[in-house]
Amino acid sequence: MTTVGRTPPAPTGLFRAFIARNLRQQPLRSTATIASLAVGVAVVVAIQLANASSVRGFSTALNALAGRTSLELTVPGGLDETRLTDLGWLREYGLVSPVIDADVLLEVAAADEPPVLEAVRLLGVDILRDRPFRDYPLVEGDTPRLVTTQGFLDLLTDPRSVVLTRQFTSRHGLRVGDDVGLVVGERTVALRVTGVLGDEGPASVLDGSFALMDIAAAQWAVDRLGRVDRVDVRLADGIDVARAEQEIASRVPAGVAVRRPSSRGAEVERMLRAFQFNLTALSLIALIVGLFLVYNTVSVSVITRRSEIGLLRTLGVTRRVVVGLFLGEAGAFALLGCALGAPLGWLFAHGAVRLTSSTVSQFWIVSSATVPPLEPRMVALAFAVGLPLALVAAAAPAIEAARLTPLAAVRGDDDLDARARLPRRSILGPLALFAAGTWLAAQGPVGGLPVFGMLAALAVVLGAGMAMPAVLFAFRRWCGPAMARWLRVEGRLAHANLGSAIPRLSISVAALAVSLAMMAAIAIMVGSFRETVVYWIGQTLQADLFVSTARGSPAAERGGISAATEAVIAGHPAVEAIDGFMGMDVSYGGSTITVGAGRFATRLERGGLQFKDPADGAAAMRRAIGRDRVVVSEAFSLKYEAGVGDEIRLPTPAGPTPFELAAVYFDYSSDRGLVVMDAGTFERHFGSDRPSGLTVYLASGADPEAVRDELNAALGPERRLFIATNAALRAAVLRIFDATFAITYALEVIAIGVSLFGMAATLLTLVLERRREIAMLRLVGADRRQLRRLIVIEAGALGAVTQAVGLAVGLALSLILIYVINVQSFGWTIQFHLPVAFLAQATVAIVAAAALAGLYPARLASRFELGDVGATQG
Amino acid sequence: MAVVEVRALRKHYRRGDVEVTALDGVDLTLRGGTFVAVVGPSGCGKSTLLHLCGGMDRPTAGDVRLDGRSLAGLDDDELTRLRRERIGFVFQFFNLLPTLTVAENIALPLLLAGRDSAVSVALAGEWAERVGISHRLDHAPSQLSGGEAQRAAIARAVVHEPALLIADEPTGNLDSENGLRILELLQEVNQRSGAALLLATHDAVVAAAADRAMEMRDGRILRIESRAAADESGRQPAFAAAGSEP
Repeated sequence: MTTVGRTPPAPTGLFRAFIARNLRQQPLRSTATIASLAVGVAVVVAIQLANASSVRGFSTALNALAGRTSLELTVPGGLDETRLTDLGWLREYGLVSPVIDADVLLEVAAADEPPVLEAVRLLGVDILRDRPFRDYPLVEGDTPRLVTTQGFLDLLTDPRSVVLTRQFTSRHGLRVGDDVGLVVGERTVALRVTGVLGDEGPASVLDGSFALMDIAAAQWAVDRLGRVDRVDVRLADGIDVARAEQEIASRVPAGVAVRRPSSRGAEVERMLRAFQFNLTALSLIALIVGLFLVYNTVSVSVITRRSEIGLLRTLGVTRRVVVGLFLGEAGAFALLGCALGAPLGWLFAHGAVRLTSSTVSQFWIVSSATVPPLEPRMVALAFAVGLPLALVAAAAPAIEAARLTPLAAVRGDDDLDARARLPRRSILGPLALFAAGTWLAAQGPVGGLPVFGMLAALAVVLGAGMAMPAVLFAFRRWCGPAMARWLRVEGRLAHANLGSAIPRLSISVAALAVSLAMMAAIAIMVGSFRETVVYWIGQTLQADLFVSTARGSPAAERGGISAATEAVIAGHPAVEAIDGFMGMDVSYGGSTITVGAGRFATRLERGGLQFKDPADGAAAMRRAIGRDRVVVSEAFSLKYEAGVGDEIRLPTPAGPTPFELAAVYFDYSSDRGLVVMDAGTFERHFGSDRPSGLTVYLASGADPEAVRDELNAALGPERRLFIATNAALRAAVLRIFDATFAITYALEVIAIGVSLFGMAATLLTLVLERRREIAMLRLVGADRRQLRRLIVIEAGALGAVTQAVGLAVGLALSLILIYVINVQSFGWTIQFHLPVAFLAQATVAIVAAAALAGLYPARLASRFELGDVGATQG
Repeated sequence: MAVVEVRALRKHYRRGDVEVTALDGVDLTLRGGTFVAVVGPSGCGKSTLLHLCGGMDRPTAGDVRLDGRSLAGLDDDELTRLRRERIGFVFQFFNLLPTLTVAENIALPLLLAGRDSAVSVALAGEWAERVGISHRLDHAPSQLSGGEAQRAAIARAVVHEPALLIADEPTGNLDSENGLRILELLQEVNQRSGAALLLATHDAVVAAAADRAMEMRDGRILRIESRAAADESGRQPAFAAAGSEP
């Protein structure tokens, strides 16, 4: 230090001496900050990996299944085989291969256990035509098995033959010659494994969940006789794809769509976009909390080292170097936090994938439940997000440090006195941000995403954080007498201590308040949503029994309920009426929607739909019978901006066909958009199809459970049907609902954990700073218990103040979530409902958790030696 | 009866590999109402003696008895209670809690003892009146002058009517005029309340005001001289010169 006065040391040397050494000397504070940042970064990385995982599964499958296909031809509901001859001219463009492509369930018998069901992608091909399109590398054990096309054909000529993958067979201990069951609708088709594919080509999809069959056998197995799902075209060399796409589209009959395989991936991405956008936004909360803590740590660093900063300035260190030193501190935190956060994120991703894949599979696509490897791209993302934001977070305290004049810093002027006054910005800033939030919340979506809604939420969150000093000032002003009265001398001391540490506490309390606000907002939103859904299923699920072929997964929706089964059910003496539901996915407006059909007359008679528009939706629905009129879900109406009276053009086998929109009804089963027409209308346009589900109405007084048991007995075990009573289905719906929001709560719990950690770290800093005062208290007669109680009361009081702010801000955020973000993302109207009991429990839990966070600092404080009074020597 | 009795008191510290002897066999008796000043250079063991007498630290050997009761067998809670009820402390740097008002600082020992808040604050007001800072009761310590802060510290030290008042360099951070006023105040409290006053100082003037002055060096008592004896002989107390060392 002696040379500093003459020649200021190089900034790097100064950084080592002034910052790095200090960080090492305070391992607890440094570790806490780095850990918080690491967790924040990890949550962002985990959600990105989970999002990538769901799309990756689909995209990988898409690419692997497409193989060398250039274009594909599709028709809603499948292409009639007889029309293939009309498409003979396609050979002018290259090779042609018709395929069956379906998500199905394979049943594998297991020794001493119930059979295992696993979703697989089934491809049915004409192997003679298809080999130029896709690779099917047969293996024996680990050895590739060279096989001619004829040899392959021999494998598949038996209609019961199926070729599975090495991953699938080894997972289930299957060998060539073993039997498996293909579950289609209510039937189980017995198949025999005749070959095993290596991990290349289509066999590499979804962890080897792939099955290959001959096209004719597959058509029979999945109930698609006379139809193919699509026709793949591999263009001859030298033919331009875009031109060919255009030409073929102009030549195909009406109703046949021509597109590139990649366009399906884009559709799926669009379908998942809102879900993933919301998850990403939610994951940023943990990061914001982590950044609050970086701000807090650097602020405390500046506050506690004012005299040292003054000394450096006196010795000739420039303002710029001072800023650099503290930004360097934040940078060091960020580098370490990001380096730890990226691999930690990969670990977190396993949990996130587990929590999200079931939701994605439930509502959109069969997704992969595996975590992609941690690629350099993700590590780069961790640094790209964490480092600049940490520097931004540290900028304000670093600039504050640089503004210190040498004299003021050394003398400690304007230290606490100036900070004891409430800065005007603590009132005006939040007001401006809340006003901005209100304006942003009133704006519409951007490209179907609630960008302004998210910005409105961010404005409210930042406003709340900025308002924290004002809140703590209010606490100091009005809560003293109550704390002294109820919590005696410890309460009085705790109030005094907190009141004097507002600048130090504001940030960590703000971080916790933001997390708690989000928790409260999500609890209110989910609670409201749940109540809405409970009411909706109460109104909608009127039938007594629900018969389905699969438990609500996109897999195994192929194959409907046979007429024979329907007859058995209808023949039961207690059954009064039956309604069936058919549905198929079609492309609409660049995304995928479901076109469904039901018997409107039965539905109207029995009630069930809740109409949003028009007021007399039932009458409008009645008028739709026998006409080209449809009722649509609210999500469809909002997403595609279609209202009652509008004309929508749906793709049908005969080409785009206009339908009049008769009514809009509330639906919370899917956000992809549902268009429902009367069964007669559906049959006229899409051909006859068996329903995938039946709703059964019983005579009054009939016992649904008894009827269910009787129907199960009458239908026999060979029919794979699930018959649920009304109560069981309602419970199942709510179970799915709760599982859908599990990830939301998991992310929030992490954010709150990080915040509590930050608060404990702040309390610890305060305790260490007050070491002398605490020793003084011991000297004048405070026993260790009193000191512990004092610190725990401080922590609990902070928790209470924070939760109060969290609840207030959470309420505002919940309104944005319910009325802006949800409507714009998913097209759902949610009725507001305050989950009072949950919020009360959460409040008690948070105050208790905050008090617990004070335990370690409290224990430390009670151990200070009396000599820490440091009054004398000698 | 003696308020404090110190017998063969020793205190050793370890500083790394070195053992430091802070006190090396000190004997001392203080009766109620007496004022004993401890003088000597820095590191001579003055503060260690005060810490041990005040129950702030435990001796390596020997015994301290307060009101006839040995401190050796007391656990931490009992020592805390003893400090809260029977001992008052005044320090060079005042050591007022910056987050509390002057009234709350003075009332603190009573509040910590569980006394009624209104009664405690009323007593604090009385003592503030007696030490001359009643107009400052609602102020923060940072708003007081050095002399006022030390008056508040003295009021806090005696508000619970202790038997022993320990003052460690109470005038060390004050100018000479304020130092004198504080000394007069301590003497007044000592005489009126009947508490024994054990005071460590570098200041010869302060030491000269004591009933007995005890000069220490290297952890031992070098000499003890009473004011009465010095007055009788008409000479300046011998310790005055020694105590004036920095």
